[in-house]
Amino acid sequence: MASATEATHAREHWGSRVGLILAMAGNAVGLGNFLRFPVQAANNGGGTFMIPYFISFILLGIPLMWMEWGVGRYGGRFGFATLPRMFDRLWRNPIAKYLGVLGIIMPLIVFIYYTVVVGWLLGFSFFSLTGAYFGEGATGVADYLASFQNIREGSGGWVGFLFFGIVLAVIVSVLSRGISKGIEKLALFGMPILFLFGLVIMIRVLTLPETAVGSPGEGLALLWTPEWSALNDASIWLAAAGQVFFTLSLGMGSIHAYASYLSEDDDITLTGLTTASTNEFAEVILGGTIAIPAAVTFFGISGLAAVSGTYDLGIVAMGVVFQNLPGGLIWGQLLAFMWFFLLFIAGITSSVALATPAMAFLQEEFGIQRATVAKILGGLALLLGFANIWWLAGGFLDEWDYWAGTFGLVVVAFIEVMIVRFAFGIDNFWVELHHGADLRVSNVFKFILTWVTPLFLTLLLGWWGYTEALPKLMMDGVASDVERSTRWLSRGFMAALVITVLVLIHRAWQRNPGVSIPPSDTREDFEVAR
Amino acid sequence: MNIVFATLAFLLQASEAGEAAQADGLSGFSWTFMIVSMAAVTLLAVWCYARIFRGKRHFDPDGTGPEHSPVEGKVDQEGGV
Repeated sequence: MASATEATHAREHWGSRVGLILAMAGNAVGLGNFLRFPVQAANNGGGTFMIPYFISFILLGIPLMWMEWGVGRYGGRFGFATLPRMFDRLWRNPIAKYLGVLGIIMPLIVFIYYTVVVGWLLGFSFFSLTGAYFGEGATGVADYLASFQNIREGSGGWVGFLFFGIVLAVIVSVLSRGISKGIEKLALFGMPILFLFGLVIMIRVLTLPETAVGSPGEGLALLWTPEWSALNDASIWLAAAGQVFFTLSLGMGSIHAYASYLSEDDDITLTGLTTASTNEFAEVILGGTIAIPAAVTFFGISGLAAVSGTYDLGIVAMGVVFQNLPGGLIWGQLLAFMWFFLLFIAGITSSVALATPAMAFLQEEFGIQRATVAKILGGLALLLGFANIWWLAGGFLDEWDYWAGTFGLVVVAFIEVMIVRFAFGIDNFWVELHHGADLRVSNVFKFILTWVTPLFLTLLLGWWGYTEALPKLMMDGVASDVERSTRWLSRGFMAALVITVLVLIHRAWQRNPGVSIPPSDTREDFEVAR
Repeated sequence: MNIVFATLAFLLQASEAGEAAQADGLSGFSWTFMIVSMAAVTLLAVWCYARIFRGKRHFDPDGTGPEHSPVEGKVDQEGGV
């Protein structure tokens, strides 16, 4: 094995700025844009939700996004792509590196179960082309999805497992090729297809004729008609803030990892904003005009409630919608393929981003070759993905999704904001952010980052902790003993992963206690100030 | 340019859909709110990409990355923060 120092000297970089933007956009544009966003909007007052959504995007999303790009590029200057080393540089305290464990574990856990879901989507893409589930009603499509999901009862589950394996093989292959030849190439190929398919489906949905139960216009009305009195409801504001958080992939560690592969003088202000705007285009325009208007057209406003779960809407409801499109079966099958393949691309570009922090950690700290690390992660995902599939009905995946993919993100971002705000200093960060910048960020955002974002995050964490996380921790509403056991097992797996990575961090610091590579530029101002 | 064409196509399509949508209960305010929001998001993206493509910084065909960008960022050229 090469030493950690040797490994860090051989760091890769992005091949082009557009490639970086599309890869970052691929990281951010995921299932949340097309499935979670419309469901959240519809369940939280539609137009009422959109007002706090845009405010949160400006007060929370953009500042945090810039912070993560800045911290990531800063870590890359020292040759590292993961939060333990970044936190250790930002805050010279022995605890800092251990807090960074979350920046490896959270994306790793999400990567594993996300890959399982992406497998379902690839399967539905394939079976859309063959028309295998066409002719079924909502119940039939739901049963078809269940047969994918349930490997224990029926042979369909093994088909789902096969697609999961194919997705994993693609991811391992991409990761093995590295940043510019693997991840960037995937984004350059996948993202244009995603947007093209999204635009085609959007236009088709918006031009659907009215049915006996609804129309696309009614779906749009649901999403864009504000109810002013509901703006007093704190839960709508928190739901909107949460959606902004998830859609930009904040608190994941993946933005940090990607930004660390920038050259140290590369712009991050304009590039970061471009990525965020690309994500918003995918979410507000494509995500907001496909699933809900289509579902309302064929199920009606009253029928929407029955299919408003994330997978119910995105897979079951849309599976039915495409069967009923005017223009014939072939057109329906083609559009269904485009929809599920779009979701597959959104999922797989996010998956490789989620795997990157763990990849980088093993490469940089232990000098393991990239291809070997990719295979190790693929093997781990296969094993633990199988556990997710096997115990799916017992809530195994739900536990991972909540603690790592929902609550954990806010925790990571909260820790990061506090470290940057109180240990590193906003003034130092402002200098770092503007190094090589093509866009001067208004000092209004400095004020927001100093006061508003930390307060907003503290409220978000406190509110969710009290109203959601505590009941979830106590398993309120989980009556079945079998399900409680499964959920404890799921938590046990997560705890084991956390402990393992904590031990690895400890070992890494034994091998390389400090940062061995000095920063190579002359940003003495804040180095001296510290 | 693709994004500009896509935007135009979308707005054209949206204007047609809008007439139908108004008949379906999308009020004048809702319709305006939707169009303004979507236009703002689209224009932000178009503005960002226009600036990116005009800049042409960080070009690295060999995929290994330059040690330093070929030119300073605009903010540095104008005198830093």
